[in-house]
Amino acid sequence: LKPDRLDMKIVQLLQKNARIPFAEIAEEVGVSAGIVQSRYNKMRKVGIIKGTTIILDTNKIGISYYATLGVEALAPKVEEVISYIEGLRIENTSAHVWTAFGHYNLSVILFSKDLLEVHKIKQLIQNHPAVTSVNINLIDTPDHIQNAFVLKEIFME
Amino acid sequence: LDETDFEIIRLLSKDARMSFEKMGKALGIGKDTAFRRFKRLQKEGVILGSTVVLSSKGCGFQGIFAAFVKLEQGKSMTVIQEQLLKTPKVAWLVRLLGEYDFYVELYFRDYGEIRDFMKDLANITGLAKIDPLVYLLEDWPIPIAPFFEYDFPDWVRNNFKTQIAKR
Repeated sequence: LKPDRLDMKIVQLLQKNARIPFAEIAEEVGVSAGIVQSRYNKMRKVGIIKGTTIILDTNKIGISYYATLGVEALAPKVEEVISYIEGLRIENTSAHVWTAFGHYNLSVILFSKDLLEVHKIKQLIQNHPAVTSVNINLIDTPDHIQNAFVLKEIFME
Repeated sequence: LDETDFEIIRLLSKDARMSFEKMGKALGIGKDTAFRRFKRLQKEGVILGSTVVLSSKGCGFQGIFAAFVKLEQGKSMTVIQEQLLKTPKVAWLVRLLGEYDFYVELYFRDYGEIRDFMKDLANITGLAKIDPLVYLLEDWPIPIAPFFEYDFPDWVRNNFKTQIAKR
């Protein structure tokens, strides 16, 4: 079930403003609001659209620092390291871990209220016996992290 | 900002199209109050906008190719950032402070796209190091939307409580 040009236009308008009324989209693309609604519902049903969300200035809700960590862990102990990192409970800080192939075998994103806590969690990860190296980099655009998106050619030709 | 504001943010993070009526019902407030608070969150720059969340799988992507990029000494970050964003495949870019200068992600449908991307990178002068990563994920949100995907951690919620206490 391939999306067509009309679907693409609807998605493009929703990317800019997900709260736009369907009637407004309809006017813009020159079809009825009912058609926009049914196209939207169809795209949700087939799983092209997962949903909608708001873009936040996360600085204003107390998330001031983002960091990315490239972690090298001993291959047989990777699962153990993942549960260790996910189990770390550091005040005002959260960590998400992904397994990867390449220069690092784990990739971690930290977000935190406090730079000292970022440092603390980095040390704790580094201290794990199966972790051989940790490369930490602060992300320099924390408050508008989601605005850095440049998304091209979403739809299959 | 108080806990009701937090709840509005939480609800809209999962469904930005939610009506004020439904929001009001969920939070035990009137729809006019919900609307006023939403407007205030916008005015204060907490809510910057809204967007649709697409499924990588639904869009036909197979995985993410990422690269940590370090520039040569004396190269301009602004110039190279523009060049990186001009490569047709970059889906996400952030500037970094640390050993690396950029982290870029490409969403790929096949290995040929990774090959093309590596060629594009090779044509940019001034890159000292490109350390690659591949994530093989089944499905991820586009754009990356952590609070759509997961709930807010408790410590973020608690920030709103502390702010009341301070007053």
